[in-house]
Amino acid sequence: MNAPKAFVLQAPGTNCDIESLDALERAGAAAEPLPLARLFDRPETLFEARILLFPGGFAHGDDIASARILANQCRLRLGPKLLRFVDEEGGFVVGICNGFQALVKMGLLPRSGGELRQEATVTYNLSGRYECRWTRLRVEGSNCAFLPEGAEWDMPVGHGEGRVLLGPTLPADGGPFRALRYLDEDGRPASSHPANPNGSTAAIAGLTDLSGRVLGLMPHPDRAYLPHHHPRAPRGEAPGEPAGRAFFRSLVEAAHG
Amino acid sequence: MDAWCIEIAAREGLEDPQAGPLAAFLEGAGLPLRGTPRILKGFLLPADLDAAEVDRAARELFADPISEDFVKAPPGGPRGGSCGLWPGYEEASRLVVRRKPGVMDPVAKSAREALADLGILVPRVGTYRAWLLPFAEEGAAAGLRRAGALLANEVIEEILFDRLPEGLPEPGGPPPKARVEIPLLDLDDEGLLELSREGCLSLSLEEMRTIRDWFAGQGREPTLTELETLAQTWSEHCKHKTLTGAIEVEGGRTYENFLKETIKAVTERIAAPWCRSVFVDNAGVVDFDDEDCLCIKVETHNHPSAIEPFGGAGTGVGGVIRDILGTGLGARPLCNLDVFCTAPPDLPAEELPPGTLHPARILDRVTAGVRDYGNPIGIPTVTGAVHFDPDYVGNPLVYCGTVGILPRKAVRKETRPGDVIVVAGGRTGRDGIHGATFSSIELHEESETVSSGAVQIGDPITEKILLDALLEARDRGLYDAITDCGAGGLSSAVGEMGEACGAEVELSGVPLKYEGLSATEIWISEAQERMVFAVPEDRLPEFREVFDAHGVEIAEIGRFTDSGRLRIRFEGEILADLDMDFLHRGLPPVRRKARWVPGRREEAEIPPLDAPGTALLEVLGDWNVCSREWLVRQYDHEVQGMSAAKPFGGPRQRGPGDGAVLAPKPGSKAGFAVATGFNPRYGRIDPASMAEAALDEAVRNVVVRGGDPGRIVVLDNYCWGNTDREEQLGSLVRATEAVCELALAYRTPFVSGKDSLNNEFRVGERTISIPPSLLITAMAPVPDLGKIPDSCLGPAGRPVFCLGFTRRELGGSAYLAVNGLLGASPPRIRDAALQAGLYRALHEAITEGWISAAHDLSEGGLGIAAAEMAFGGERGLFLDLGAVLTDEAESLGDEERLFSESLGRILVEVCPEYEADFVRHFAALDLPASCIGRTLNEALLVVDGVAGDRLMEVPLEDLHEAWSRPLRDGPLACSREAEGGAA
Repeated sequence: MNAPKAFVLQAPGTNCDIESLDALERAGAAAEPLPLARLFDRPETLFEARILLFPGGFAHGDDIASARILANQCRLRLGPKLLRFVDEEGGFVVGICNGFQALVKMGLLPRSGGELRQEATVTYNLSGRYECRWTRLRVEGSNCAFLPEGAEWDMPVGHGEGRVLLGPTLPADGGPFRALRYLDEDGRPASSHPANPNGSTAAIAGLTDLSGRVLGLMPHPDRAYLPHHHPRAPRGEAPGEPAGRAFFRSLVEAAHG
Repeated sequence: MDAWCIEIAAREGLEDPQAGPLAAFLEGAGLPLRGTPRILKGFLLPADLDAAEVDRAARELFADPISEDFVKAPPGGPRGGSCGLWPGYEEASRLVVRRKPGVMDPVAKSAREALADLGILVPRVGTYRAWLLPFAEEGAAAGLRRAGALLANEVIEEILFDRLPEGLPEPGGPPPKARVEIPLLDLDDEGLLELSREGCLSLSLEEMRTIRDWFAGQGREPTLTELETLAQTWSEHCKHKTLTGAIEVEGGRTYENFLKETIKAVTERIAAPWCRSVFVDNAGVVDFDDEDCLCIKVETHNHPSAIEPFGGAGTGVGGVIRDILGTGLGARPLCNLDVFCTAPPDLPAEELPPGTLHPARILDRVTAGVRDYGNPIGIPTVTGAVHFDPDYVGNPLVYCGTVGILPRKAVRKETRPGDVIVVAGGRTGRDGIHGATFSSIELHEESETVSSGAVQIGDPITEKILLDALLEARDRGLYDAITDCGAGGLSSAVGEMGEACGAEVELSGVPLKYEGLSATEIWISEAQERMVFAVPEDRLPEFREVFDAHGVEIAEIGRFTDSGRLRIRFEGEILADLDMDFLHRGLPPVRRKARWVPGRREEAEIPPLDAPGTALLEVLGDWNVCSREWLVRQYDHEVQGMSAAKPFGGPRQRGPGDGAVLAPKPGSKAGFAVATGFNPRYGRIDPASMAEAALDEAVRNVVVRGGDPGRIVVLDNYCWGNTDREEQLGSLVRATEAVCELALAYRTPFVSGKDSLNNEFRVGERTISIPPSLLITAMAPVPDLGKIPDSCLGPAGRPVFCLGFTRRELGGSAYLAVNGLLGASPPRIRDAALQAGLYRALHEAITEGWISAAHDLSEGGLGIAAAEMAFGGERGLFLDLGAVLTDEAESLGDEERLFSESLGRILVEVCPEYEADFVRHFAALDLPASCIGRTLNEALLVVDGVAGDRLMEVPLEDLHEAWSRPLRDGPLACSREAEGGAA
């Protein structure tokens, strides 16, 4: 069986492409970088792959707002191709951090109505500042077609705009689109800082779509896929399979079909 | 040119996270509001757009449809009383801040490109910030002006009151005449000095005379371009002429080349074969494994940060990253570190000298500057320090460092005659003119106004794509040599690369941000994000292809030659024709005198330990001890997925760690540790103590993280006052001699360094010199990432050992500081060989897997290190001060055991099953290691005194709270009362 092919998109200001490529490779994908300009030149390139990853970074400097310019470009230049990739080709699209912001702002997530229209946003942290810290997450029961429901994971966040707000077209608590939530020390959905690092509605850390093949999240599985990544590694208290490894493995296995 | 205004704010009814802190800040400044302020982002679009296009731009680009509201004001509309645009804010005061023409504005550039995506083509976009402030009291106009001064920096921004901006900024203007001759040959000494001063050349009389005599020999007057080229190249910033010159030490030896005979001599004597390239390139290069080398550089960016802290710190980061990009044939940056020094953030406003920014604002803005450069470019900021001292009030310090990795085969570079000179990256503007010469003089009351040209604003995304393109071109072998455009701009970069051969430059080819720059400005502009390459002619097409693909602009600006001359033209006209030999070796030798004058030496009466628990809480809250979490978490320390030891440890990430460890190669178990050591408070008593402490602490910080003490390299960064004064230079010599002796004993070669002299602030007749500030950075390979000790305590019942001797060394300590004292006996290294042995032994114990946690003892001594390990690990600790080892003749008191800051000490938690091995190991080597405590189940720090009495039982939560409180909400929150006092 061939390894499923994955593209890691590189926009100007993308800065998590190298670790995302490595994490996908280790999880069994054949991962390749795909510069944004090349994708715009030849959008059909997309259909060569089973997975399209929007990695973290500061696309276009996050000028105006996080991922806004990238989201507009994708919606205006790639819209129909992206829809075909997800709806007809059965492809998987994952956005991490800045990539999640882009998917939400281009309207690919959660896309409750079928067309590309922004229904939610990822905006400025309630703390008022950028923060880098480790968080605890749980995979919720949702539409998501590949994450193991009930899994509890530690992953770091690093963002200034990670607060998920849902518009009126969506269930107030995210409903079946709510794929990942932040947990507090007692294992409950985190209502306050720092367990909920950005003030997200309903402790939402990640969203999925109707198909369950599109997923975006603020925490970074790409910074939690090797044993030494975990902050408790020096104590020997890191999980056997790193959370990021489990995340990418689930994705690649599902994409393999 | 009139314009449309679009303004964006958080949606009505949705909390704007910036509004609360702003209201609190203004209230603290004596400007209470009666309602919530509205914070706006403004965009200016050309007047010829129609309303539908503007509406679409607002809806699809500028405002978020879920979380933001927008309004638009048509061109020619009412400009006064414009608060009516926002319902509910009709009565509020409006403050508008926008960048001055010519100041870099990356958002405006992006917005223009993003509008094109929507099919809206415009030549220019403007941006601004605005606030709607409902002041509670009468006199809102005066309040508004004061708020403007607090929220804007008038060096780079203009402030508008109660109105909208009139139109789009229009930079530029016609370019001035290219070739300007400066009559120099007939000037006397006074005339020469005046020219140096007025032209901001920062050249001494002797240097001006040398230049005059050289041109007399040529039989002509110099051009402005030539004078500027010489001034940049000969600047203290570029040449380090004081420390590479001769120094006669009163009552001591005479150095002919000070750095060569001290710092560099240490490296030569150690002669470590794994040092690949030291003191010759942009950064020191050392072996990492069979394929790759690591390189490291630390820079300072003090003067720009004093007048514009955000831009200064950001471009400090950008600059040192380019140093790494320009090392060898180019290295990939792996991580950044930074160290800030300011006056305490609660400095009373009346103690703030005129012409300075409040230290709380400086710290807030330098933190933002590092964050908003380092995070977007995707290089983790992993370690550093913040130090407070009142004498940094006029001249704060900002140190920025970067570590990079490069293939062994890319360490060497050589410019070849015939190579094309290519400049790549950002465009050139009038930003950063005279940075190199400005940084070489003291700051003064008027620096804010006269030096605005020296300010730069960074654009990290431009540097990020430059980085990507450069590394691809390197791997394809498309160029012979590379260097960064830093201080002195193209003049330094081209001059340096062509030093051994010669260069011809045509400046009309340099891409400009806007029209109106003179040729000389183009030549010396320090505009950011540019690199210069020497590209063989036949490689140029492929080189261009690579940079095009990454969206990076390049331009050919000349050729390297074998003429031995630097010739600069503008549209063919010769602006400069200098002999490379004169340019690089014509500088008259600098000879200075140094005199060591011992500092204040009043032995302090050590305050007795009346309430030990309270004393510990006080020391935890000292400015130089308390938590830096507010800053640290604003930096991305995880990006690139290489982090193997975090800034905070423990179950809830509460305990501060020492150095950082990175794993640059996924799949390999090898990494490296990097850390700093810094304590200028000891230097107030004796610079030798400060120097030893800096080196020893940096070394310990990497050793406790598993770094190999046999492979440590170090960097020296001096920031001093005016070393023209003998006693300033004397203290520098004393610090250097001490650090060199210790580095030889530890066998830690220096691989790179930098000095920044003249860190003084003149106000009227008074001069405030910074305290002597030597930063030492250490880096070492970590052979096994699986063996890194934790920084916090673990399970209950484990033995805790203190390594090293504790002495009567409270001078400069945090304990004396909280009691308002300095003291006279700062810590010293007494037996360097013993210390080196101790670190080797600890490394062996770590390698054996015996050590489960380790933390160095620094500011605040044993009490603080123990508290940090305990509250970090959320694990109680019992300490028996009677078991603390000393080599003093007389027994120590409890306050000395708890708070002395003796060097060379480390607290370690030992795995119980290996305790006997550990004890035997240290005993066999006759090294000081004493079991002073044990971890507890109860969440308490329990300390028994030397007499066996119970000194304290303090809940860990109280310790953590005392340590976290001072800076928890950032420096601005601390400064409220102070600034209110000035209102």
